[in-house]
Order: sequence, then C-alpha cells, then structure tokens
Amino acid sequence: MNKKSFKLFANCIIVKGASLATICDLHRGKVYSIPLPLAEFLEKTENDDTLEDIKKFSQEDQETVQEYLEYLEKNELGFWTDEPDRFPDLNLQWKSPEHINNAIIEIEQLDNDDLQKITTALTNLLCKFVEIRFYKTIDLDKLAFFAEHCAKSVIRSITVFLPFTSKLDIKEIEILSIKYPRIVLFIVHSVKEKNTTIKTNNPKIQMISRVIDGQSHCGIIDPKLFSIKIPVFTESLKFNSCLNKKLSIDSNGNIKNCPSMSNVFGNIKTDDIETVAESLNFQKNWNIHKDLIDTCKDCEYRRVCTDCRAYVDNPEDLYSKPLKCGYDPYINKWEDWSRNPLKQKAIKYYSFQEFLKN
Amino acid sequence: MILICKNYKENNESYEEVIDWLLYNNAQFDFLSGEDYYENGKHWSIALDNSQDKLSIPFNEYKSVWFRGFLRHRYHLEETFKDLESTNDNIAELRWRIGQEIGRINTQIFNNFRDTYQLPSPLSVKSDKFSMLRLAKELGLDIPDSLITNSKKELLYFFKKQQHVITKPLYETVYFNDESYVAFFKTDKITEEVIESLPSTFFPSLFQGYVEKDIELRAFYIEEEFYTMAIFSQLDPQTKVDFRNYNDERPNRNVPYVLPKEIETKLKILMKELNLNTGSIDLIKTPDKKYVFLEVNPTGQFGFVSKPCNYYLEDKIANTLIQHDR
Ligand code: SF4
Ligand code: SF4
Repeated sequence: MNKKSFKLFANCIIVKGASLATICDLHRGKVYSIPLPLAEFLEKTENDDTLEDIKKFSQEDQETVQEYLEYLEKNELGFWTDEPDRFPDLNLQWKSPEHINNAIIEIEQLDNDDLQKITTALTNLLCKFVEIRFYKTIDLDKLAFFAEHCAKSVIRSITVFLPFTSKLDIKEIEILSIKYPRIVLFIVHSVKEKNTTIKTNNPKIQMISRVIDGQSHCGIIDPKLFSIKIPVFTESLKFNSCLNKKLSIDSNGNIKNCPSMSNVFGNIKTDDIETVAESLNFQKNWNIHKDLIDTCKDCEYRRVCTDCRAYVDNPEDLYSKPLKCGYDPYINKWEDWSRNPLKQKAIKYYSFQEFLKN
Repeated sequence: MILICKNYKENNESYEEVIDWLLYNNAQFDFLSGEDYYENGKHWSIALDNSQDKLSIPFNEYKSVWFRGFLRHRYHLEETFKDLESTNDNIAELRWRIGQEIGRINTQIFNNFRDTYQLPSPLSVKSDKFSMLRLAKELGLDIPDSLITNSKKELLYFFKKQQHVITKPLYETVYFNDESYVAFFKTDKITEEVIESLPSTFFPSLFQGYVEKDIELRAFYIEEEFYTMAIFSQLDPQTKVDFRNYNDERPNRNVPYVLPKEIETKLKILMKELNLNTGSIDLIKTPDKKYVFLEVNPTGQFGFVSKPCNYYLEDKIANTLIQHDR
C-alpha cells in the first residue's frame, strides 16, 4: 500500500503555547485546544508516512494518537493523502491596501472644522472602518456631518456608540441609518434595564445596558472576541493585533494610536493628520507583535487574540501582557482578571476601581 | 491610465478590493460600461476614417484595460419593448436580432482597445464549452465524455454507457424568471426518468458523463501563473453534486493546491490558443488521479479562491494592470 500522510487543511494552523497548543481553524472560525505532543506529532508527520510514525509510540499512546486523528478527521480539520506535496502550506504573508485601516473618533468635543479635517484625512489614508464614540452626550447633526463628508472615501463601515439619555430620539437614528448606509451599527449604551420607552425593530440599532462613558471600557481580552481569520492570524505574525494601522482622535483633538494611551503625536488643530499618521514615530507601536509581548509569546491564543497596549500589567513596560486578560498560558486557566492580586497595582494605576463597581 | 470595463450594475467584494489596491498604489483609472453606449443617452459614433470612437472617451490614453463585463443583455431597450404591440414571436425575434446587432457593435467598440493591454481581451471571452473541450482533448487533457444531441435514442445509449449524466448550457449559465415561469440554463443531473419523459427528438443539448471526484479544483490563471485551490466537496454528502449548494455550517474545505507541471503546461497552451491571459479554470481530480478539464471562465470570480488560500489575487490583478500602464 502507498504511504499516506495525515495532514491538517492549510487553513487549520497549529499554534504552540507553553503547555498546550491550538489548531486555529481560520476557515470556519474555531479554535481547538490540543496537547503539545500531538501538535508536534502532526507537524512532523504531515509529509511523512503517518502510520509508520504512529508505530513509534508505545502501544497505549498509539491508541490515543489514533483516536485524535479520527477526531480531527471527523471534525474536518485534517485528511489523509498520498500526495502531501500537492497541498502546500498557507502563504502567511499579510498586506492590506490602506494606510490607515481603522479609526476611533471621540467626537463629542470636536467641531465641524475638526470633523472636516478628519474625514479628508481618512479619505486620503484609505481608511476602511470607523468607530465613533459619544460617551455622555449625543449630537446627531455632528454624526450626519461626518457621514456626509465621508462620501468620497472608501470607508466600508461606521459604528457609532451613543449613550442613552432623555434626549435620545430613536426616530432620528432610524432616519440616519437609512440615509447613510455606511453607518452599519448604532450601539446605544447605558440603557437602564427597566427602561422600556425606546423600542426599535431596526437591526442596525442595538441597546446594551453596559455603561461606556469613558475610554476605560476598552481593552478586554475575551475568547468571544477572538477573530479567527486568515488576515488576523497573518497580521499578528509581524504587527500589533490592535494598533496596527489604527488612528485615533481623542476628545481634545489629540492624534493618538488609541484614545486610552497617553502618547500624543500631534493635535488636529495644529498638525496635519496624514503627516502624523505616516510618521515612523506614530507607527512604532504597530510593530509590537505578540511574540514580543511578555506571557502572550507563550500563549496558544496569540494569533487570534485581540491584544491591548493601553492597559497592561506593568504600565512602565511596553511589552507587558494585557491587563484585562485573565488567561494564564502556563497553567491553561481563565480567571477573572480584575481579582488577580498581581494586577491590583496596575488597576490602581489606571484608576479602574470606580469603573469595575459599575 | 487604466480602464475598467464593467457592468455598472454589478458589484462584488473581490472586484472592490482590486480597486482598493489600485488606489493604494496611486494608479489612475476610469470606468467604462455598455450602459455608456446604450443607456445613458450620450452621443457617440465610430467612423471608418481611422479616427477613434467619438464618445469623447480618450481611448489612446488607456494603456491597460481590465475587462470584467460590459452589458447585461436583458436590460436592453426594455422601455421600447414595453409599448410594442406585437406577437410574442415577433418580439422574441426582435430581441434576438437586436442582441446580435449589439454583439457586432460591441466588437467595434472593443476594437478601440486593439493597441492596449487587455486583461483579458473582450473578443476572446465568448468561446463556447464544446470548443474548449475539443481543444483540451486535442492537447491531451482528460475531459468528460461529451455529446451534443437532439436524439432520445442517442442519449439513452450514452446514459447506459456512462451511468451518470449531466447536462449544461454550451454558453453561459443563467436563469431568469417571469411571473409564470423560471428558466434555467445550468448544470443539472439527468436521470432515467428525465430521459423517459423526453420526446424522441428534442432541442439539441450538451450532455456529459459524470466524473467521479476526489477533489474539485479551481485554478485562477493570470499571465502564465496558476493559483489553484482544492475544494473538498466530497467530505460532506450534502454537497456531492455541485459545490455551489454549499452548506453554511460547514463550508467545504478550500485549500491551496499545486497542479502537476505537465497539466499546467497543457493548460497554458490551451489558454494561449483561446487567446486568454486570465481566467478561472475548473477541473476535477478523480480518485485515480486523473485531472479532468471542465471549462474556463474568462471573467469568473476570483475572491472565493483568493481568500481561503491567502493568494492576494486582488493585488496581483491590480499589479498586472499597473505594470502594463507604463
Ligand atoms: S489598545 Fe487597548 S484600549 Fe486601545 S483600542 Fe486597543 S484594545 Fe482598546
Ligand atoms: S495571554 Fe496574551 S495572547 Fe493569551 S489570551 Fe491573554 S492577552 Fe491573549
């Protein structure tokens, strides 16, 4: 009989951590945890005679490996082939046709002049995704002005965060959602549970009870938010999973990587946004990829994790692990990050305590 | 300058991404559609005094043309037909005649591109499936047993020999509907019952023997290079007949694939003979490792190959256009 190799599909990729590995199924968007020795076996055997390779294990282990292979085959993560060379690995190159991919705008304090500058810059920078944040007040005219001035851009989607206030006019929002199809989602936050006065069937409008009245809501690491896709995986090999090609304008018009970070690279009142965005200094943090980050570099989720550089365990250290991650890749346990005794100093530093009580 | 020929009414994501790459590389480009000639009320003429098309389109500025489509036939002169009082037969004849005229006129419009790099040439995109199969066979590629016939007897004989038979249009796969009917021109399985229900002669159609699949292959070809994807359509019994009926929960596994050199060489010759510098080639790999050629779609989709294989075909296409725009 011909020799046969067991091979994972090219878009199901093994990532090895300190004590577990994952198979990231980038096609169907799922992550599977597997034991490290199995990961190593799969990597070794993929172009080999797998049945021969299995024989090298002890009797007991052979059965376990067999069972695993059956599991992988049944879940369509791998297949048997006698022509392994015809199935090459996935090309892991990453590139994207934009100077800035996504932008966060804290819009409340900005005036129309500012917004005009921002939309012009986003258009020229070929920005694709925009997040607009209203924390405490709403000004839908501003939003309309912004959307209007994006007409010539390649922006694919605009997501808007709005607080629930007595002034909130759901009809107005519905009108905007129809008039500006690029606004794909309105998230009305801080909605009190008992409040039933506002109702809408518009699928673009979501009501959530979470209070998002400041920057510190951001940066949560949660497997539910993992993005298990080829572009995310490949980008993470060389670039930061959150900050790469991101541009933020905070409420004071400061040009930043992210509104929550203290680094300011200029201000829209005095500086040209495009020049700032294209400067090496601004792009420095884009290169902090997961293999450089403490703990994350040993984590089997590092290629699909969202990362955060604003809130980290040691605020003095750029390469420190995200504060709001409760995962320990050395013992493979998720726990509540905000209760971790080792994180209390950093939590105090970012003065999160108030926020956590909410 | 690059010229993008397309149907204004049609859009899709992978097409948009090519535009993104053109923008990213600061390429200059314009659009042209059959609608500019037939629907938008603009004045134009083509004279045989060697001057160019006078649709105020500066054709000599374009060095690179990306041809994605031109006009959707069914929209032609829709208004005119609405008010026409005539028999259905006459209207059908009229529509057909007009379609033929439009074809000839388009050929003259495309003649404007004769000195321009074209990806692909619009004059090459119309070849029919049977000619492609004939050519493939001459070049030594495996093809499904194929038959054009109007005879029930012949078809039955073919069916007995092949066991499984499909039918498909020689030209394009389309469907359209009216209030009272839906007409399909598409790939379909032929069963013994279907044959039994046929009259002894019928409208001549293309039939092919069903090819046993190990995997399906889509090879995107551009300027001598192949970007091939294997589709594991056999894993899931739900998609055994045609992978287009996919199952959202468990989409077929699509992964990069390397064709044998000898198959690539033959396909390259095939594409040259068809005067196509790009296209999407459908093949089947049988359980006994034969590569069976099915057809070429010159302006077929590429996003569904590009994305799962991370081939960046959108960038590749943009780049090819830019390189020839110098
Ligand atoms: S760095 Fe952290 S806080 Fe800033 S945008 Fe990213 S996840 Fe949010
Ligand atoms: S340890 Fe790092 S890579 Fe792993 S889940 Fe936490 S933040 Fe993500």
